[in-house]
Amino acid sequence: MTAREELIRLTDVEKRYGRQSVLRIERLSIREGDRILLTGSNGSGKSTLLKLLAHVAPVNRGRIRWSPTLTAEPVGFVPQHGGLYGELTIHDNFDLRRGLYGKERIDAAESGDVRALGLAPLLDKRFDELSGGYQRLAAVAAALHVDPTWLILDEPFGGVERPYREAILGRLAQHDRRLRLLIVASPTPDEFPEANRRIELEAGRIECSER
Amino acid sequence: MLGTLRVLRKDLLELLDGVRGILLVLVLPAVLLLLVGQLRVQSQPLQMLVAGEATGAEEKEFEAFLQLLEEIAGLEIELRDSPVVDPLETTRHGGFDLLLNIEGDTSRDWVFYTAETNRLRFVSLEQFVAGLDRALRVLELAQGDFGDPGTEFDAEIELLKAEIFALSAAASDRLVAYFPRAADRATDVVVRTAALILCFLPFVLAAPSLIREREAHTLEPLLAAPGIGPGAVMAGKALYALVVSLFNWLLMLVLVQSFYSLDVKSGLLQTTLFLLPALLSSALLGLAVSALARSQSQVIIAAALYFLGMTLFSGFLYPIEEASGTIQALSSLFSLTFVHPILTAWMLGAGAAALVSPETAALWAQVLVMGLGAVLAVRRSLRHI
Repeated sequence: MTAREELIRLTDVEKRYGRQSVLRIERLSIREGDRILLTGSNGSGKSTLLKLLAHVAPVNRGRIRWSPTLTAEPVGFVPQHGGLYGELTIHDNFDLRRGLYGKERIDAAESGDVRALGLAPLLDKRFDELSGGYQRLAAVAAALHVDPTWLILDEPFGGVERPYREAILGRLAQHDRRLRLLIVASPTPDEFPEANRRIELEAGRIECSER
Repeated sequence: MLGTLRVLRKDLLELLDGVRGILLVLVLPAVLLLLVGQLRVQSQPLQMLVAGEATGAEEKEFEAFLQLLEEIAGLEIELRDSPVVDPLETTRHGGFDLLLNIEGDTSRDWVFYTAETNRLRFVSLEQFVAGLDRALRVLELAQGDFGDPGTEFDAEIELLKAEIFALSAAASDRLVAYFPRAADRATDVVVRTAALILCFLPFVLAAPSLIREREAHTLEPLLAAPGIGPGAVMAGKALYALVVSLFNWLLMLVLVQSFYSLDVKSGLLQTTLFLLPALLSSALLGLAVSALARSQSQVIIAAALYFLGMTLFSGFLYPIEEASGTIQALSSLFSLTFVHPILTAWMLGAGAAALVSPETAALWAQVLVMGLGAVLAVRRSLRHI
């Protein structure tokens, strides 16, 4: 069995908001093919860690090293709330997202993700007109719309009814072959059964990391 | 660079997506400009009091001169037999814009007083007084104080004619088109408002940009996109404010030419280049505010305060030449302080903006200061994502 490529390595990382330290990780290695469920109670630092991993927020101390082959490829990122422009329609949001990634427009109505997540009839609605559950689904679909090779989802199932949770998992499975890395944060440990690794955070520290 | 352009494109698409955005940013400033032009279409003619009587050789020429002023400059002149003893009080409280107090036998003893109560009117008065001063010099020459009338006298007469002509309301002549301020004081309001819009708009566009992204949690996906880091976000948003403001500038030029006969003259490129640092410093200040604000309502308060500060301390409402050193130093922080006079000179006069001048240096210094402030504020803000 060959060793899988290390994609992200965190060494002695600390993240503070003001004077308050919210995350301290001495060492964490994330490898090719990891399907990680990041779990922990509210305020444990899950969202903060995801932002660090997605290269969205800077660290206050320590070092994060990304594999150059990973950073050269598009990441799909779903924040804990919102994530799309409220005044724009879902359709326009998707076009805008592809534009930001330097990709040509494709008709969102033709997208398998859009159809499976029940968004096809809502494409012409503004994002802020959607219910909370549909907003989550739209955020997930937007992240998938850029053909990502690594995907980071912060509580994608929040406020989403069970059939649609299944639909999200189904779409993730559909994209699985292309994805080098998938990280899903959730406060409940059983929401991402396909995970091959579980990282549990508590009060900003890794409590356990198991495969 | 590519990331910056992608952010710019995204912001422009967002703006142009809805009718409301287009109306707010592209149409309303233009409508405002058109309405402002209507503020002074019924402005009263300048009131002048001539107190005392010219005697001797000057009398005839002076009467002819006053008649000329009444006819072509639309001036209303009141005559009194004797000079007033309290000229400033009489000017201020008598409703006069200008007082010519004839306090002695020769024109050397004549003194001008101006009301200075209304800057907009005073702007016209400055031109007017210049013409009147020259008229007195002509009278002195005619009287023979400086020798026999001759070449010098004729040259002074020609200059006087040119200045009086510039004050003329006859709109048909090319000279008048170059000096419409004298012909119609309303245009001065239009140019001042154009300068105000140009200096305020970049701030208004940039100030909500980051905080809005943060509140909607769209900043994270934006920063996750390839090639888009904090620098690209900042540059893209500053560029967005710049592009939209420049579009407004061109739109305003078309409008003032169409509705107020303020022709676009040579030096447009030079003036636009002069405006660039002014727009940029305003946009960068807006970005700094956006990064420091914790909510959009804080941004609205900051915008209102910036607007107030800009109008009060830039010479827009009140002249700052006589203000304290503190106010004069404060005024150098506002781009309007430098834009307003230069724009007025170009649009109402014939002077194009100099690209190497103390004003330009001050504006680029503003860009440096605001840019540094914006970088520090954005970095601080991103640490809290």
